[in-house]
Amino acid sequence: MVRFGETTVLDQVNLELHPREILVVLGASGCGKSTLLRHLVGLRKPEEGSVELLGQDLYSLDEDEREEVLKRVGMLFQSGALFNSLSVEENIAFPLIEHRNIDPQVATMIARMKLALVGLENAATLLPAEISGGMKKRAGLARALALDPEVLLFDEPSAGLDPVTARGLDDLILDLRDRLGVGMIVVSHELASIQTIADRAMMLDLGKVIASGTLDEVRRSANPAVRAFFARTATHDQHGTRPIADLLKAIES
Amino acid sequence: MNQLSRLSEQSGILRLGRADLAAEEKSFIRLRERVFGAVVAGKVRIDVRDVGALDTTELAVLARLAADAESRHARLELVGVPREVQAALDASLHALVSQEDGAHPTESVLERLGEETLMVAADWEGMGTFVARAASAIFVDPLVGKPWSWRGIIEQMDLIGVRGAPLVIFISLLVGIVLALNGARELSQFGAAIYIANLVGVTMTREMGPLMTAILVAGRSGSAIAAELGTMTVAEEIDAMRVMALEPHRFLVAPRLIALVIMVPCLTVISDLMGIAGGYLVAVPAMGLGSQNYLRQTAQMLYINDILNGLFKSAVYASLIGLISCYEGMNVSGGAQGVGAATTRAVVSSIIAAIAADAVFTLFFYVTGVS
Repeated sequence: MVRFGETTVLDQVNLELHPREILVVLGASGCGKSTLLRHLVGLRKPEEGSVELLGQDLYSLDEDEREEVLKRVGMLFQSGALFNSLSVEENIAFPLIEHRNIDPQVATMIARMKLALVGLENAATLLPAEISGGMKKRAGLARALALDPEVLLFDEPSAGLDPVTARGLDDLILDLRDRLGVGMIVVSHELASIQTIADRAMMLDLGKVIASGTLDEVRRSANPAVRAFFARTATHDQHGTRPIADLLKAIES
Repeated sequence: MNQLSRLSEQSGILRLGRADLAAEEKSFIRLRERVFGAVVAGKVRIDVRDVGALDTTELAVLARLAADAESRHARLELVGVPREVQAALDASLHALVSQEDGAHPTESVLERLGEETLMVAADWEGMGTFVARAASAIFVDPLVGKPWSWRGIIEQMDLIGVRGAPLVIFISLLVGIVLALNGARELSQFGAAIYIANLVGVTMTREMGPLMTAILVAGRSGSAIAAELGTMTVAEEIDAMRVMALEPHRFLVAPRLIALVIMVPCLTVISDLMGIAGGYLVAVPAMGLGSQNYLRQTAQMLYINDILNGLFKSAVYASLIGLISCYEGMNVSGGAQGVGAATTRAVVSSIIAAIAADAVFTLFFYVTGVS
C-alpha cells in the first residue's frame, strides 16, 4: 500500500512480469501508474507490502545487493532524463564505465551500438539540448539498454510525441522485445500505443487494480471505468469537476 | 434603494441587476452584506430576472454566496433561472468549495505548532541522512573500490576557484581599502598611522578574509550548485542515476564538496593578500607611509595561528556551503518555482550558517586562548 499524506495512492496492487512479454499498466491520469513504477525500481518504499524484483525483495537487501539488482533493470523516464552535461553517447557509456570498468573507448563503441539499436547513430556526439523530444526518448532507451537489462520499464513513453514518432517508438519497443527477449512494463494512457504493444494489460483506477489479463480480456471487462477508458468518455467524478461542468452547461443552455 | 426594494429585502427576496453581480472585491463585500441582511427564516431568494443570461463570473459570484449561505446554515434560492440551474448549483457547491476547505483546514495554534515542529524535525532528519551519505561518499567509498571522480572534482575546482577568483580579488581589494581608510583618520591622530598594517592584516586574516570569501562563494557557487542540482532533480536526472545504481552523492555531491574544501581556503589566501594590498594602496601612496615600513609591519604582526585559524574556518564554511547547497538542490519540488526557492534558501542558509560558525569559533578560540 502507498499513501501520500491521507490519500491512499496504491492499494493491493500485485503484478507479475514474464520474459519476452510487454505488460501495459494503463489507466487515467492520476490513477497511480507512475507511482507504481517508481516503487518497482526502489525510488519510493511502500508503507505496506513488498517489492520483489527479479526474485529479490528489494527493501530487504543492503545497498550493494540492491545495486546489483538494479543493474539488471533499465528504465526510460517520461522526459528521457538524459544527463544534460554529457553527450548522447557519453550518457550511455557512463554506466558501462562505472559499473563494468570498461575502457572508455570500448564503452563508446558499445554506446554507438546501442544507439544503432534505437536508430540514433547520427546523434552520438550531440548534447541532449540539441536533440528533439523523440530523439531524447530514444537516447534514454539506449541508455536503459546499456547494461543489457533483463527487465525494461517505460514511464509514458509516448507522452508528448506526435503520432508518427509515437508509432515509431511503439515499433521499436516491439522490435526490442523480439530481438532482446526482455520483459517490459509500460505505463501508458495512450490508447493507440497500448493497442499496438500490449501482450498483457492491467488497469488501475484510484490506486486499485480493476482489470487484468490480455488486452481483449481487459477491454471486455464489465467495470464501467474500464469501458469508459476504452470508449474515451468520462465517468465518475474523481476530483469534483463533473458537477461544475454540469452547472456550466445548465447556464449555457 | 427604493421602499419597494427595501420591503422585498425585509421579506427575504433580493432583486439584483447585472451591476450588482460585479466580482470586484468591494462590490462583492457589499453584495454579501445585503444578501445576508435579507435572510429570513434561514432563506434568502435572489431574483436575477433583470440580469438575463448569466456569464461565468456572475455564476461564480452566486455560487460563492450560496456556499457562504450554507456555512451559515441558510439557503440561497435563485429566482428567474430554470430549475435545473438551481439543482446544478446545489449539486456543485460541495465540489466548488471542498478543495478550498481541504487546502485550508481550520487548525488550532497548537496543531499548527505541532505540524511545524514535525516538519522541522523531518528536515533535520533528512539533512542528517544527507550529511551521512555525503561523508560516506567521500571517506568510505574510496576504500571499497569506488574512487573519487577526479574529472568532476577538477571541473568544479575550475568553476568555483579559478572562475571565482576575479570576484574575490576585486571585492577583497575594495574591503582592504575601506578598512584602511576607516582606520587611517583615527590612527593618524595619535601618530600611529603605521598600525594601519596591523588593522588590515589582522582583520583580513582572522575574520574578513575567510568570512567574506565564504559569502561570495555562497552567493556565486552555492546558488549555481543548488540551481544545477535542482534542475536535475526536476528533470528526473537524479532519479535516473538512482535507477542505474549510480549513487548521486558519489557523482554529484562529493566532487562539489571536495572542490569547495580545496578552493575556498585558496580563495581565502587570495582574499587576505588582496585585502592587505588594498591597505597598502591607502597607506603608501595616499598617506605617504614607506612601502618597506608597511610591508615589514604587516609581516611582523601576521601570526601563523591567525592564518591557520582563518584557513580552518574557511574549510568549515566551504563544507557548510556545499552540504546546504547540494541538499537544497536535491530536495527541490514544484518545478521552476521550486528551483528558484531552493536557490534562495541555499544562499541565505549558507551565509547564516557561515556566520553562526564564525561566532562559535571565535568564542571557542577566545575561551581556550588558542589565538
